[in-house]
Parts: sequence; C-alpha cells; structure tokens
Amino acid sequence: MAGFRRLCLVLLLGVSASAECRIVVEDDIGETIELAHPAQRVISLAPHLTEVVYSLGAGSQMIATVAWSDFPEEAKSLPVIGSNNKINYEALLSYQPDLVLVWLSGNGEGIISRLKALGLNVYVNKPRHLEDIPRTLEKLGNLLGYQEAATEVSEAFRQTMTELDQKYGQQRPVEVYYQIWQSPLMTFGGSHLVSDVITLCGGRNVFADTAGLVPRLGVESVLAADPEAIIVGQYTELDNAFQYWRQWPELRAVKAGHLYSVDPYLLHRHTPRIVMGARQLCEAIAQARIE
Amino acid sequence: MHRLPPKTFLIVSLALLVVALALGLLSGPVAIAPTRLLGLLSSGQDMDSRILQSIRLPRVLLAALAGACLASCGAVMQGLFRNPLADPSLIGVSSGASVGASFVIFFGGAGFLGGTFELTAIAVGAFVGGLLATAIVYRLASSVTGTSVSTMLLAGIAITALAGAATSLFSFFADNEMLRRISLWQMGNLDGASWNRVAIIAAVVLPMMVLLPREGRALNAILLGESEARHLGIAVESLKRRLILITALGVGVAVAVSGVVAFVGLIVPHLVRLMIGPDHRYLIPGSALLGAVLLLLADTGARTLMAPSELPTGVVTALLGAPFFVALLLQQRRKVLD
Repeated sequence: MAGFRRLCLVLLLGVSASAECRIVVEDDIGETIELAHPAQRVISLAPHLTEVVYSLGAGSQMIATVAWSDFPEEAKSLPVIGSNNKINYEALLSYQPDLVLVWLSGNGEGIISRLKALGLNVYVNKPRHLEDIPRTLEKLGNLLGYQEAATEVSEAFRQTMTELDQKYGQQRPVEVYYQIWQSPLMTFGGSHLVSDVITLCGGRNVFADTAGLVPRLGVESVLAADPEAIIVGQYTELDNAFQYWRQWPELRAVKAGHLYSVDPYLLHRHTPRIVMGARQLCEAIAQARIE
Repeated sequence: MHRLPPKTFLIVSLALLVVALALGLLSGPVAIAPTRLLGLLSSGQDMDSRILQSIRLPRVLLAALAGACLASCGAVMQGLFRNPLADPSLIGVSSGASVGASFVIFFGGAGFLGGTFELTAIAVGAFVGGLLATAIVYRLASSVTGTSVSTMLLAGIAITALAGAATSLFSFFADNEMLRRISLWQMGNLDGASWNRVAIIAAVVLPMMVLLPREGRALNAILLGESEARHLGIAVESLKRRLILITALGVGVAVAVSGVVAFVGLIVPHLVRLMIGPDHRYLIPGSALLGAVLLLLADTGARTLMAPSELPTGVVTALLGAPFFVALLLQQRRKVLD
C-alpha cells in the first residue's frame, strides 16, 4: 500500500472531539494529491481511467470524460469534454470537478500543467508495467473512497497474473512479433505494457530493445528478426495482415502457421480487462510453443 | 568556391547516383553481400532476392524518381519566378496536392477504394489539387502587364494557408480509419513503395526529364526579365503556362506516391547553382540528378540509422541537406570577401 496514506488528526477540544481525515495519495509522477473528502465529481481524460473508475463501482462519481471512453456501456452516456489531446477547459471547469484523472502519455504534460494552473486536483497516471494496474486501482480507490472494492479487484488481478505466470512464465521462451499497425508496420517497444504481457506469457518481444514506445518498423526488420510467432492486435485489416505475412513463407512463424490475433480492445487498455487479453495472448504463444 | 564545368558535374552526379542506388540496395536489416547484388536482382526465388526485388528496388527507385522530380520542378519554378525562394510548396502546389489527396481519401471512404485503383485516384486527386492551387495563384498574380512575382508568392502563401485549413478540416471530420490514412500520407513516407507507385511516378518523371531541359534556353532568357525574353523571341506566356502545368503534374504525382517531402525542391537547385552556375540547360538535369541522390541517401539513412525502427524521410532530408547548404553559403561568402 505504498504511495498513499490517510492522515487522521484527532483534535481534542474540551468536551467535543472532531476528527479530520485527509486523503493523501502520491500519483505516478511523484506529486502528492491531498483531498479533504473522497472525490465526488471526477473527470477522466483517458478511456482506461474511466474504465478503472467504473470497475471500482464508482461510476456514479464520474461527471465527464473524453472521446473513446466506450467501456462499460454506461460510460458512453457521460458528457464528452474533448479528446485525448484537445480539452475544452471551459467545459471542464463548468462541471466543477474535485478530481481530474490524467494519462501522461496520452494527454501530455501541457494539459497537466494547464489543469494545475487552473487550481484543480490532478492525478497523473503513467502505467508502464502490469503491476501498475492494481496500483492504479488502489490509488483511485483511495481517492474516491472505494478502498475495499479496490483491494478486491486488484487482488483478483494479481491472482490471475500469478496464475498466468505459473502456467506460462517458466516455459520455453517464444520469440514474438506483436503487430498493431499494418502500414506502416508498428509494434510495441520493450517499455510498453503489452511487452510486459508478452514476457508474462513466456514470450520474448523481438523488438523489446527498439527505441520508443510504439516504434515504426520496416518490413525487412521483421524478416531479419524472424520471429516464431506473429501476433496481430489490430483494430482493422486483420486479414490483410495475415495475407501480407504469408508472402514470406521463409519466416519461421509463417512456415509453422503461427499467425494469431488477439483483441486489441482488451489488451491495449491499461485496465483490469487486460487479464482477458493476456489470456488470449498467452494461449496464442502457448500454441506457437507446441512445435 | 570554384565552379565546376557543367558536363563534369553531370557526369559526377550520375556516378554518385549509381553509387547511391547501390548503397540503397545494399543497406537494410538483412545483410546482403555486395557480390551477390546483380545475381539476386536478376533471378532467384529465395528470400534475399525477394527482399531486393520487392522491397528495396521499388523503394530506391521511388526515392530517386521523387527526388529528381521535386528538385527539377524546384529549379524550373525558381527560374520561372526569378526568385530563389520559389519552391513547389511556396506557391501552393504541394498544399493543393495535399488537399486533393485528402479529398479523395475522405470522400472515397475507407472500404470503397482499394489497391492500385485507390492509389491512382489519390494521385489524380493530388494532381488536380496541385493544378487548381497553381492556377488560382497564377490567375491572381497575372494582369495585363504580365505576372507579378511578389503577388504570386503572396497569393501562394494565402492558398497554402487556405489549403492547410481545408486539410485540417477534412481530418477533423474524418473517422478513425480515414484519419489514419490522411495523416500517414501527410507524413511523407516512402515505405509504401511498390512497383505500382514506381510505375505511376516513372510515367510522369521520365517524359518530364526529356521535356524540361529543352526549356533551358527559354528559362535562361527569362532570367533577364520577362519583356527582355519577349524581345528575344520567347513566347513568355505560353512558356509559363506549359511549365506551370508540368510542375503541377510532377509535384502532384510526387506528393501522391511519396507524401510531402519538403526541402528537396528548394535546396537542391541552389546547391547545383552554387556549383555550376545558373545555366538552366545544365541546372535542370543537374538538379534532377542531385535531387535523386539526396533523397536516396536520406531515405537510406531513414531506413538504417535507427534500425529496426524507421525515421520519417523528410526529417533526414533536412538534417542532411541543411548543414551542407549552409556550408556552401559560408564558403561562397568567404570567396566574395577575399
């Protein structure tokens, strides 16, 4: 439970006792957020943060969000005050939020400093590893007054991770190329969360050492890496991707037929649902391990 | 700096082009021995020969053709407007082409178009857009007394701004899939190289390489001034119309197959002029050759510098060309001071 604590100052004043409890949470960039009460009017500036709040059962405390906040179904009816990089600050202020949830790599520092200059309580989220997801759950649980739910959901999450790790993590490593975009070719670098999931499943991301969170690749780089499995997590053009790689029967993955797809809506969002995506990915990698 | 004899320069540039082509073909994440190059190019069904034939060869050819096209169009524009800042992007051709292509992507829809047909449609859109932009700019700058260069440049800036706004508006209303296509295309990438694209650009650039140098003498006369050129027997207005049409076509197609690669059209003609002087008979082919070399080297750099990731080609053209250009300018100033 590192990163946050609850300060209770009990002041004894004559016969009456008043207790003041403040919520103190440190966010992912080391800034401290102090709230007198659990946040009641929350705006999330990232789809995954919206989803995390709902997963705690605190959806009723959400008052607005940004485009693409499409899970769960109820989130779609929230007012939208912009997109990940364009926020309508007037609309945001008009909702009088007592907490704004920001995603560092999606929203950027400019938005964060602007929100802080407006005197708002800002929680900055920067998930890079799988353990950051339960940590985010716990921090948000504390800020919104849903500690119990947070403990429950994050424990379940950690348990599934342990289970997957025990089942797949110790197996023979499989070299994986994970494709998120067809033209130009794009993959996740080693510092991306999905690369973590690949490792958890006993895979090795062949582009883990490439600079950048989402490197753009040349076709030849994939041919040179010669992965054992090609796993495609694309929102569109899945068939094209498979067809494209089948042109290169020399690739180990193509020769052995290890072309798989996973649901990017599950795997690419830093929410508890990632365990479902992780299961798909682990199963695909396990398939590739058989031969 | 000593000027080179133009013919020597052309021969050296041609040799450089051959070297740059070979370098482009030999560089990449998959190592291919130089001795095997010719054998792999001519035959073979193994992976190395297919890498060469279907990945590297179309890409180096596309880079060379696009570079030649942009640089020679730049040389023609600078001559025609007698202005060193004239550049296809400055008088609105590139941004017009960009709007045309976005228009086709936007109204063509994501699933409706596909393959070669889509590419051709985008190329046509880019050409029409580029031509329209040029026509508007040209109209605005023309009067009974002739064409005013400064009005033309100002009109170009206005059209560029308008076209930029239109492109942004398309992006604003585009759905996810279209937005992806528009922005990818705007990044100016050569990584979509294919034989189709090479065929499209070759069909335009090769005739252009024959037609443009023929106008060299007339462009030289224009350097003296339009009325002087007229007195020398040049049909100035029809020359202008012809050259503007050719450059709009050339830039439109280059933009359509390789996106907006800035810088090549502006800098290369200057480089060549500094080295061999302003005679358009040599300046145009010289710019074409050097433009091809520059874009080829830049693209090879883009593919290999950060391997396995790829950099945008336009970034490398600027990184490579700008310091070289500044060095040439400094050297020239020193010569003047001496």
